[in-house]
Amino acid sequence: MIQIQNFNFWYPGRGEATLREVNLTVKPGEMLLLTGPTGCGKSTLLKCLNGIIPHLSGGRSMGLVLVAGMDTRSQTMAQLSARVGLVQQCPDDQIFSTIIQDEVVFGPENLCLPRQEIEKRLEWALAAVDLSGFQRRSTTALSGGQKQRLAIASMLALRPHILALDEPISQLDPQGAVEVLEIVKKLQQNYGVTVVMVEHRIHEVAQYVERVAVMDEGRLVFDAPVRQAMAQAELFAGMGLRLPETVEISRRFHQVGMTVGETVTLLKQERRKHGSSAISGARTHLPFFPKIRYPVDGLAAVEARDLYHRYGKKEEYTLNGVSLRVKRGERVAVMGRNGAGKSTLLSHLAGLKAPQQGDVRIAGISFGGKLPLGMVGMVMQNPDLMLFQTSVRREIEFGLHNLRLPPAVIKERYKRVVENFSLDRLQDDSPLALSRGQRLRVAIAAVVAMAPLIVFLDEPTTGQDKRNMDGMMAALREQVDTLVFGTHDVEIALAHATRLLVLDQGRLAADGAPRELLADRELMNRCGLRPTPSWLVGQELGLDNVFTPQELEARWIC
Amino acid sequence: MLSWQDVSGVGVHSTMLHRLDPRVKILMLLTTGLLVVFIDNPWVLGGLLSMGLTGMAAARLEAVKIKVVSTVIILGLWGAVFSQALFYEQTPRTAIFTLISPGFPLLGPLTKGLYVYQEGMVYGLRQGLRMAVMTSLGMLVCWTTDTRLLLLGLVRLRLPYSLAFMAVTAVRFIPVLMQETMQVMAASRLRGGSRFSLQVLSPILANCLRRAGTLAVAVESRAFRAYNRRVYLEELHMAMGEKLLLVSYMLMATAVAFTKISYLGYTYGIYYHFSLRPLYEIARSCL
Repeated sequence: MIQIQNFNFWYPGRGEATLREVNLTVKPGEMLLLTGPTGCGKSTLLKCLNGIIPHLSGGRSMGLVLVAGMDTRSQTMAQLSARVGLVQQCPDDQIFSTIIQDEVVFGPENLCLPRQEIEKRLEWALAAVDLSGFQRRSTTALSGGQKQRLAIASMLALRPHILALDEPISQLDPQGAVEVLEIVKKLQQNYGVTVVMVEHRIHEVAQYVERVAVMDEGRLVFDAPVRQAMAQAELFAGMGLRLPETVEISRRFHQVGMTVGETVTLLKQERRKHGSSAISGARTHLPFFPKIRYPVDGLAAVEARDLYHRYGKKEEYTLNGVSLRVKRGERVAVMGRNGAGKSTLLSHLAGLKAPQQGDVRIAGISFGGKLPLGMVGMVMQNPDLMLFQTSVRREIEFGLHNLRLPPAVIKERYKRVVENFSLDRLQDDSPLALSRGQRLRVAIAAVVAMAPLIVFLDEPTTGQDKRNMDGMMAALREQVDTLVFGTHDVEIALAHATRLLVLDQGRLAADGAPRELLADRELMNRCGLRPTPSWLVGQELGLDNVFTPQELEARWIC
Repeated sequence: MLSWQDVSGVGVHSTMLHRLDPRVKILMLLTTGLLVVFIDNPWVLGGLLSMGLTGMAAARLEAVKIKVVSTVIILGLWGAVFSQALFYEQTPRTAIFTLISPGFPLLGPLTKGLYVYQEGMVYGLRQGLRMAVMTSLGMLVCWTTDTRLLLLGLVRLRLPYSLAFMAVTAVRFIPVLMQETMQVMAASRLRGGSRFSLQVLSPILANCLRRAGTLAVAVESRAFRAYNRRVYLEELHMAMGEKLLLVSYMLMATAVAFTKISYLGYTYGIYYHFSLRPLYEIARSCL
């Protein structure tokens, strides 16, 4: 279905090739995961499939890209769009119609298809993504997962043989991600659609795909069936990519467990092989798992009382009577499905939004809508919106100068954050010209340099690979006294939070220790969260309080 | 606090104005735009303004929307009347109030006296009312017409699809742009910067460009401009009553324009015919 032969591509004005000697074949009906570290060229390769490269991008290419036997260079965009549907990362940026029907029929209308055919395709595409009956619904009223399904439907209406998905779940909560992945799998299995998916979140996607191709620095460095690929853990770890927990657990036995069920079976087999005494011995010798503890001095860093907020008078309340108290030294994770109110809550706590009702106190002081300069730091979901200086140096020094600190203090703080965030070599570069991970580091460094009492992070790990995530969280834990971060990532919450807040439709559904709340299946389901695979495996094996592969390993294996 | 959500969108009601064919609304709006150029009489302009406001009431718009449009109109009127009353240059002009007399120390000699002129006030009121008429009717069209129908209406009025699509899509992304602007300003303020600094423009523009790129890929991937024409699943159907309304309104506007042009021809000595005297009289007293 797809043949890429010795393909090289240079973006306009760039000396170095973004794609180098890429060779890849995808069979009809296959589901391929294309992965690799941030900036390795995988999204660029995806754009070659539907002719965006070279028809729209400009630049220079060498080699061949054949789709259904035809050279993409000799095909028009319209011809290619009927063969390859490209779904991009952010559903909000690619959906432009006000109602679902208009979004789906946009392509068929452009192709001037007969009215009956357009209607037929509309119904089929919506049924294929489980959105039947939603024709007249507003696109803004959909959840994140539904929006991405709509983006897929709008491509399906062109009846493509190939779906090219560019990080389709990176912006979604865990349940939204599962919705999308299951729909894509259904399309592949029931309709024979060939799927090429670019994604960092291998741990969530691997069980759905048949083959994995890995890119690094523009080259295809690995290509194998998924089980074979998952056995190469070092390759993925070296690139900062996260493998499924079930794979990490089963690696110990030189096997690959793709699902919870497979892993449980494998562990039970191992138990039979090694005998139960070894297992029970492991249990008795490793009864306790160190929890991350931080000095908590009891003073409130931030306190909210009866917060209410809605974005319009006709809208539902985004915050519906939220009260909480974050003590100094705490690391608080805020979780919940897309639209649960996480970002709104963080904006209120940071003093960016004045409460419509209720009160927020930072270090015991109510600022009433005024910003407490230097007391709080905020890292937004999109770090690009925080970078407005011409160099990394100016970006970091900007806040320090505004605090009117003595030059010696500015120099010392600047030096410290540049070292801690590994920005030494980028000091004179323009922040917006850096890679995604580097931009995030600069944004965080600029905030941390001001030494705020408390830092808020709004889903900072979105779109970041594991290496970036771990580096960032480690630096923050090192340098920030009190941290409140919104996230969809259960593993990140478990690894870095001392306390977990779960929001559901603007209400505080739960507040407690992460390990306690993340073991509450009913709460997790209700609030759009998914337990870790290790926890699921642990439950099947009758082990409580197991959340990570390391813990499972310690409890189950000697 | 007033939010974008409160003043954007079509709302939940479905009145006759909501159901009116978008082409009728667009054409009536454009016709009114020409009509107000030919009308100088503040009372008639006031009548057109009250037509817009009555339309808003008939469309059962939310109070907040009416409040917003009223504020804009009042501020616009006040600004136009006040500035023209002070700086009216044409003659004859009648000073009805003295703000600074020529003998006032320092400011007097500098300004040669500052007066409120009656003719300036009337002139300003006329200009202000013209703007107010278009504001009220323009907002009425926006608040009673779904963006998609506006797009379809524009296309059916022969505006090239690419242009109509761009215009309507730009409107769709205004809330996103506003939200991002607020975020950038907040980020700047948190680090002690000014919310109105020019520096905040760079991330906003960079993000706009990125989004434009994403959108371009999204539409091009769906055969945008694949052919010189395109088809539409939904079509607009103009009912006979709507056609009659539009034709009547356009005929009325044409009649007003003809009357005024005839009168101007007569006053400037370009053309006179005795049979047109009733029209001259109407134009002089009403237009």
